Amino acid sequence: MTTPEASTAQSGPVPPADRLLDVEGLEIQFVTDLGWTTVVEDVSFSLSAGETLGLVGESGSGKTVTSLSLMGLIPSPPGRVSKGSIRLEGRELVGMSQRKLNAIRGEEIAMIFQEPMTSLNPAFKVGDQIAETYRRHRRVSRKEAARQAVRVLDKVGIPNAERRARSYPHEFSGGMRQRAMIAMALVCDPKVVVADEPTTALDVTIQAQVLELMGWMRDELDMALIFVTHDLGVVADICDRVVVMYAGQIVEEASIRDLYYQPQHPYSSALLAAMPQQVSRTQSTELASIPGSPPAPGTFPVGCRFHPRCEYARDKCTQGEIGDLIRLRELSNGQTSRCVRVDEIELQGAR
Amino acid sequence: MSQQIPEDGQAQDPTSAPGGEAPSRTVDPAPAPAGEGTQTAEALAGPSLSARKRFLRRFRKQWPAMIALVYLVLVTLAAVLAPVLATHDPLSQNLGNVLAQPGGEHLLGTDDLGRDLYSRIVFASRVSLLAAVQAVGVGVAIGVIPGLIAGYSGKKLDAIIMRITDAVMSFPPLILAIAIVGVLGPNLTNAMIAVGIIFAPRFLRLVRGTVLAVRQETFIEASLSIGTPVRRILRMHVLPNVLSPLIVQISLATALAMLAEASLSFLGLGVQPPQASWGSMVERGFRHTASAPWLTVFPGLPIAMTVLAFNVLGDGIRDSIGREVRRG
Amino acid sequence: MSDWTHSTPDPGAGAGGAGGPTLDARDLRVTFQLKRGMFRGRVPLHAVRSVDLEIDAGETLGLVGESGSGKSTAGRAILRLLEPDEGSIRIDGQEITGLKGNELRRVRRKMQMVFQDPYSSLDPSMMIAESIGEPLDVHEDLTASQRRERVGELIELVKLSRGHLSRYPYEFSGGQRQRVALARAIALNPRLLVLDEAVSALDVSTQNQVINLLEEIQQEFDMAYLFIAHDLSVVRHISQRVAVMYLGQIAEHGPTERLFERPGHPYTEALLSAVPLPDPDVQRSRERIVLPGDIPDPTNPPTGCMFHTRCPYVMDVCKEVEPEPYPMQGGGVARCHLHTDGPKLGGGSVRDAERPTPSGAGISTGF
Repeated sequence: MTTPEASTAQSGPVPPADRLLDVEGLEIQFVTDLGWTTVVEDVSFSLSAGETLGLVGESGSGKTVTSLSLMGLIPSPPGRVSKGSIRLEGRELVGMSQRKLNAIRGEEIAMIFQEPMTSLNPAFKVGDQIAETYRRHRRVSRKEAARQAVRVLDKVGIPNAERRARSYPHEFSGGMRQRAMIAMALVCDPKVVVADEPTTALDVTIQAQVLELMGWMRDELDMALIFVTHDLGVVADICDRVVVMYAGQIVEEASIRDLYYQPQHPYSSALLAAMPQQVSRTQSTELASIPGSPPAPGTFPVGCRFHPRCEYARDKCTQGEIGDLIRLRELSNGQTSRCVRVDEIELQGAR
Repeated sequence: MSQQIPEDGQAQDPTSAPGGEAPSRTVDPAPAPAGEGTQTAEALAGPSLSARKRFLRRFRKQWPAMIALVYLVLVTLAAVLAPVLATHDPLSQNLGNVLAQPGGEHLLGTDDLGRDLYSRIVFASRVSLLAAVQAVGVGVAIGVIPGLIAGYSGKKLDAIIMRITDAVMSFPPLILAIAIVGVLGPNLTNAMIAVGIIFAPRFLRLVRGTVLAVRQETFIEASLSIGTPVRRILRMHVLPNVLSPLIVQISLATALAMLAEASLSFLGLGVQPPQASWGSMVERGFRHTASAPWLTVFPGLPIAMTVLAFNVLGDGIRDSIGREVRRG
Repeated sequence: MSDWTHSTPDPGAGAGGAGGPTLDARDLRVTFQLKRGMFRGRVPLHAVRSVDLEIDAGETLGLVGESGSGKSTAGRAILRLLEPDEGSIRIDGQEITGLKGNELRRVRRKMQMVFQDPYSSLDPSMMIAESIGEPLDVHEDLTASQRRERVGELIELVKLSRGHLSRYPYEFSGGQRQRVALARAIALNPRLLVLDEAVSALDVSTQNQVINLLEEIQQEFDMAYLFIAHDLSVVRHISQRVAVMYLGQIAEHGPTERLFERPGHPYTEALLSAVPLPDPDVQRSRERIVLPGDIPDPTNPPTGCMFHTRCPYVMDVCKEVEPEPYPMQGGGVARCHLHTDGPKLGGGSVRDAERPTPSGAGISTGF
């Protein structure tokens, strides 16, 4: 293999014409007391129109940083994209000027954040904020922008959109605020929407509403979604393909059914086993758990980063020098895995 | 790198959690595994290790603070041993040898009344240090406890204490000091009590503000839930968390107190001649800046250095107290 | 609600009053006076309205509900961290409402709490040994070496090592902190442990370690757990009985299996269907009941049944009359008119009732 590892991460034969977003060999660093610490390394994936990609990981896995980098939102300092490329329909986003990025952000790629309360400005009316986003990208009158804001609020299921557009964020309930956030992301009809834990802060009944809404966005608006989450239940509900991240790397990429029914990395398998199934105490004795806790950036183990917690770890998993990278290997069905023993072990999926 | 293939997930957790522990590993030996904990733990840190010992261990690693501490100890020693260290009587005038240059018989020269500057500086350290300590001591004594109470109790008591504080703060400080000295009589101690009273609201507000923030923390509720008496909560949980900003404030206040002492002495409300403090010496030397600049520089130096030392020391103490910024 | 018997081997072992429940809370009510705006008007918010809870030694009661349901408030009121307006709370038969000062402090050793946020529930300026030892300092008169020994035992009980004792909280991960909080909570051998979202802030992979530890400790010391959580999967695993709260009331409670398999209240049914299952085939084929709107403003709750504004089965009677608890087949009760009116389920599962298809299903209905 002479090409960089990055190229192995493409999943399946997707015709390039369909590809909206291409991430290759992404490396992100943050400056700490000890110098530059690599937080995300060798991350490659792609996204096609109408597709929903899950970006799954625990705290410290680098999933949020990765999603921010897609928007050019890595705070610098202290962070930087040190390697790799992010291409949106062929245009390179890494190294692009802020001005050009601003033209793309919101217009072609938009983001939905976890905390709708802190992402909406409390001092302005919801409708005005959405209209403002619209006017930044389209040269239209205030009146037209306001009309668009109402249209999109109505679209995401806010009743009396015309009246609610004149409300302030604090007058909205949690679920409505999240809908308003989504409306703001949708107002310019972006091709790609990145949603960072959009349902984590919500109650389950509200989460169900938002999941329904996002499913509708994907189906009816043919939008490409990147869904960043730690919740494998949410992923099972909405995603077509999944990228599993651990300790700053992709450890597995697979189609939704492959991941759940035949995971090819011990970490994915262990995560699935650890999901508290709908089984009561009388039926099972102990919950499966992964020993230890996920490593923080700067303390990633040598060799396979999951080896200290992996029940399948052998000597070859622990070997290597600092900075060595275990290759992400493509398996026959387009699934990829970063496990060196993937051919030797039999892993359990859901059920 | 240790390589473990855990068989039982539970037992591995304490020693193999890199997230929280890695930073400390370079300093401390790796924690002992559960089974053989006792003697290893005793050997390296020991559960009996008090917060004070832990503090000292960390503090020793802060060399700027250590230097500051050594300097302050030396200054204090100099103040105590002034009669031994002085080469002349600080009060004996020699009008035939005024404004003598440094060197020769008079190490640092003489002042406008022919008094030995070095000896005067040595003796003045007693006055300056004592004055600063008095002022800060009064400020802390008056400010901290009501601040704790106001911050913790909230509601009516807080309102009453804060209105009194506002009233004190609404007086111009200098006029307040003059008024207090006017009532108590002009001498250094009274002047410093006045400065202390002026400082007290600052301490009070700082303590109250910090307490208000600390009170919101879950660990206060957690402690209440185990039945801890309020007084113990104030002492064990609130006060230690108030301490670091308080110490920084104390070091700054000490510096301010030295300057305040100088100003009041200049106005005749503080130290009474022929006694001298560093501040009053600077004020006096200022009249001869052009002809004898050393009269200002030499007493000014210990003020600057002492103020700096208090600040560095405050920083060092703050960094050695258990409170740490959350990582990540 | 006490007629449901659990399978703990020897009930009452080690408990003060043999036989009786460890926690017996009756008609608990908590009201907050909310300040509204600048004009000093105060609005009462009935956070908990007439809640009964009963937990036996060695038993776990799961208390579920969404934000604003009053579940945490109920937990805090039981521990007298909030003052209930009304009601009786008995711990091992001892009435604790009305206790004051030292009496209240003394009774606190019987009931302890583990808080949600492991990052703020430990005093950052205290070493772990001091944090775990604090309850001993407050309640027991131990010599330094006895105390050290006890603290050492406790840290090993939560599967950390004695070497950790001289460290500070910032050196620990979330899961480890939660173990320390647990060690501290069980230091005095309490009879009742209130776990307020105790594992919610943890990563999936570490969450289960703590859950397993909780179960182990409960078996060893025969404690009663009140497990407050919003995550139904975890609750199903850990609890023998579950109570579902909505707007300060218990909408339904009962044995875990009955409640999950045959929910008697439409809210329970909707909650269960809203939790996405980590299995794409199952999750995509099952029906999800999407409740419209949000939890109503608790200062201005709906008349009649509190749930009627969002209920897919709503009938006319629901808007007028508040339903009484109705005994369920298989144990527990549900507060729903469906059991006595309309389809007359008579204690059966709502899953057997026919749900009217919502008009124009999808996105734009909602609020």
